[in-house]
Amino acid sequence: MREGIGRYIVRRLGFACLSLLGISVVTFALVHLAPGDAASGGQGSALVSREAAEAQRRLFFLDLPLFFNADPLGVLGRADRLCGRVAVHGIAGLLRCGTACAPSVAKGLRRCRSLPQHLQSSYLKHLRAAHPALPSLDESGGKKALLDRLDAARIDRIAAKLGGEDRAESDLVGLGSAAVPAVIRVLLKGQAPSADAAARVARRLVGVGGALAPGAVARRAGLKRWEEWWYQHQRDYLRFSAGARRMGHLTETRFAKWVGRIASLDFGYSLSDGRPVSEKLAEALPITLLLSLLSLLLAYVLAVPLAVHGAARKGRGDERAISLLLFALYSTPSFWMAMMLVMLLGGVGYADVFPIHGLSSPGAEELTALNWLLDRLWHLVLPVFCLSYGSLAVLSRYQRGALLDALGQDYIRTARSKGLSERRVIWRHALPNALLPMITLLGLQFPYLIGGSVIIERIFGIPGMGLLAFEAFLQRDYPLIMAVSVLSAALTLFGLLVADILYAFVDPRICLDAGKGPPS
Amino acid sequence: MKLSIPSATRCFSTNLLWVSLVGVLAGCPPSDRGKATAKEPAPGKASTLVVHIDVNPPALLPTIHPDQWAVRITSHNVYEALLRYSPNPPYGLEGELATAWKIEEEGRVLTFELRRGVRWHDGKPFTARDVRFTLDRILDEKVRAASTRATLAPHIERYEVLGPHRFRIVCKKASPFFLHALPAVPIIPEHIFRDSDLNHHPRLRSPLGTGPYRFVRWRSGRDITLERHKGYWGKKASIERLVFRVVRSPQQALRLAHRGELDFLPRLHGSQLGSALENDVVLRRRFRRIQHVTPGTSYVLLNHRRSMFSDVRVRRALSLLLDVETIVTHLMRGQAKRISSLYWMGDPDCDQGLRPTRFDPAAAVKLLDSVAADSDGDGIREVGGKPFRFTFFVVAASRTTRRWATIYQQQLKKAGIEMTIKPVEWAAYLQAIRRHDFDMGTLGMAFSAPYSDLYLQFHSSQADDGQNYGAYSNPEADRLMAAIRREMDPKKRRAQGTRLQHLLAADVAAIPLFTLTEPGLLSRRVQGALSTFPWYRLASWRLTNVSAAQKR
Repeated sequence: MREGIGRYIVRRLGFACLSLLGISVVTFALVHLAPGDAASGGQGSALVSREAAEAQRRLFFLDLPLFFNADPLGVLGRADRLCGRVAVHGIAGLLRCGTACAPSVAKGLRRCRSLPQHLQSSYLKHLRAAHPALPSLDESGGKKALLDRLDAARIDRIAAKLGGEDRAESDLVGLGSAAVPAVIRVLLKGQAPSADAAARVARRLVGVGGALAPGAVARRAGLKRWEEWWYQHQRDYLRFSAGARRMGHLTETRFAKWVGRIASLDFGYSLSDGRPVSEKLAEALPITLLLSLLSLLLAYVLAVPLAVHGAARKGRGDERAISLLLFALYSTPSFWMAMMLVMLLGGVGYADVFPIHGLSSPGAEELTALNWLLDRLWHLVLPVFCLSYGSLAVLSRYQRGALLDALGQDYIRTARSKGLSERRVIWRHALPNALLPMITLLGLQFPYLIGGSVIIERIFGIPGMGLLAFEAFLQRDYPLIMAVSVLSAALTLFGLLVADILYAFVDPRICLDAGKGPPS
Repeated sequence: MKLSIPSATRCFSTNLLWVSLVGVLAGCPPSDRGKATAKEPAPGKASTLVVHIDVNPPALLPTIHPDQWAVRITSHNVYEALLRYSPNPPYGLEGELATAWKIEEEGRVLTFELRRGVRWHDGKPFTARDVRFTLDRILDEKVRAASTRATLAPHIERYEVLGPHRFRIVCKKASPFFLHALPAVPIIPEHIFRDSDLNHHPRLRSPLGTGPYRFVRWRSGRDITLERHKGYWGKKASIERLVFRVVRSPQQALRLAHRGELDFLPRLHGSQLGSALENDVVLRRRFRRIQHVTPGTSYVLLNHRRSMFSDVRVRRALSLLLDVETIVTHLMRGQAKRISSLYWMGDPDCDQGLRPTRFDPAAAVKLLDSVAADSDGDGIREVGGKPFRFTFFVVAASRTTRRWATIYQQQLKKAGIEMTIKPVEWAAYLQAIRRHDFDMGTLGMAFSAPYSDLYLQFHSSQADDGQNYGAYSNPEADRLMAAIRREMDPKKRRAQGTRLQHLLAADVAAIPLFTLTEPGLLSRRVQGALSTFPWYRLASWRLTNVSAAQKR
């Protein structure tokens, strides 16, 4: 059976990955098809110039198509296209593509018969004017010397000397955008003197970004910023080969860029405040986990005894009273309960028992560890109660139903006729066989563990996942929305998997290996 | 200037529910017993002012993230500008980091003497290089400071450091408004921000300035703490700590106020505040009401390119049919003040003598009969041979606007005009009005200085590519608006401004609605609650000691 489980898990994980991909495709499409986008929305946006809005859109790949790019263009592709229309648009567009594609553009301009012959020299003249460090065209063979200077292998050789030779820096800056890929490669390797020199060069070449600050943490953060920049802007500097272009139909899309990031567990940057999404998740997740684990634990710990009591004393007065109470709890909305509790126990008019906002008192950090813990627990009482009573009611009803079912079975009659005590019959024989629904429900609880509850978190002022997601939706903060929904989807799938595996341990009749029949 | 939806859209729909629940609970015994249970603030906390904020700001440098709370928390508290506004209307300019400024060449050249001996919170001296660095960054296209850049860039020709404490700005043309843009430009330290990309700098979340308060910590989503800076160059702040506590639900904020956990609630909902004060003795005893008038105006935007609105009598009739008084008193409930001019009401040049258009359907019908009679008798008037029908765009998130639009729709129907209300998303609305593809809508102007410059919104040159979305055009108004932008003499400017306001009102360039106000609660412990433009000046507030407050 152990073998079976191994294979089963692998198969299920495969399916889970597929479903996750499907879920993310659907969520991604829905999120992006909603009207308004982050770059054009927002109330201050009437001000932002068209260029600034465009730059903002590019930062988040909003200029790329969602799933299929019919026309993927690297900088070379763009230049090639411009070559054909140079007579109409002038060569300004070509110059904007920078030196990265100069050799190929020069070739293209010469080859194209329909264009006037002087265009190539005119282009090179302008290029030289924009980059005075390149060889002059006036000398004989100047044209060839200029284009040779931009040879990729040669640039790589210079970049390798960064940090060692002082001349390398000025040489690379003089080359313009053609030097960017090589410089970034050196930069992202992150080795001490060369990467610092590369960061200086890159900053001068592209006009943004920062030097690598001293200190390991700051340095890593600086490198990460550059990595991010390169991920966003590489299509302006890289020349796609024919194969890369064919792949580009799929890779040069918003979805692919996003998946590419997720693959390295990087959720990108939040649109609303520019902080890394992972940092925001790391702030909110522990708070929500604390709340939901506590409430889940409370619900399970109380639900089982309640269910046993309910099943054993079915139909008696006290059992009916408890059932009624549970039904009442089940049908009470948690926000109403939360507000009633705040009103009655929160020191607003009636008893002042519990604090009503936040997770610690103001000034709690000056308390001793024990007092701090007590203060924290005191703050948790109301929210945890509000989060747990609903599932407590559901769980105990399910469990009671399953127990009653089990108690009607033949083996229970056998056990009873053996003369076992009622306590032993229920706890030892009936209960283990009635745990299946609890496990199913446990699996389904997983997404709630990290999803948090918007309303409870809002009422009690707890900055957890629910509020984070809610505000992300209001602000159309795509990266954050996607991160939260994918995380929930992954946990749901994981929860279902865990539940299925637990079934096998609890109930030997369930066999996970489809190849074999159930053991008799 | 910024555009905004002219109504409170920040409240979530769940608020409605809370409001109604409070209504239910009003039947419960009044909370007199709260007197015994509510705690007075502990004596050790006496010198802390806890301010309620209803959202967690994205960052704390207003130039990069022009968020309202970022401005209110940092400016003139942590960061300082060259100039600031003096308290109380008419809000004159006074020196902050500049001690004196000389205006030469008819206002084109401004030379600032900077304050000596000012130090950043980390002890490094403040010099003219920091001012240059700040302007460098703002004017840099790669820095995400679009809104500040938009107010400064059109004016500035060049600027230079003349000495460690002397700085000069040369403007392209003289403008009376340029100096008034400077209080909204926080000066940032060059030695902190120099080395890295300003858009993502970690100091955006832990500001370091020259102001009377020093940043202590920000627990995201919970609170932001500032502490009195001991080495401040000027009069030290009286309150030792400012804590800005994030409480998203306004009802919860009121409860925390009752418990004595908040001292100042600057922005509440008018209706909630009213019922809370009525039912809660403790709140009444501990707090007093305070009100802040936001610098902006809201108005109904008309598309002057539509032929049906081309006759001024039609526009006048449309404004006579809009019952602004009812909207302000019954729908906005203390959240707005009625206005008659398109100028901001706090502007010293705002003509207080201009009477608001009264609600008068009879007069409107009479006016309409003369231009747009119902010739075919179907109950809908004809204008220019076509039935008088138009669409009113309402931003979907703005519930108040939707409500009064329905009332307006009925009034128009009675007068024989058919108006369709179309709720749209803000982004879609913006797109439509930019293309002049609309009939009528609402818009708000937010002023960054207590001087109203209507040029961008109403000058005919701004119709095609600018913010004059209604495409209003009137040669005389154009002349006045252009003149006001150049006039350095305040008296002449005021005279021109008065003429302009009367002209825009007579011409019904737009229908002025209201200015939004923010009602709030302030603890009675606070003395000398000084307010200035654009918000309160917390650094000059004082707290009385707790025992005095208890005697009250």
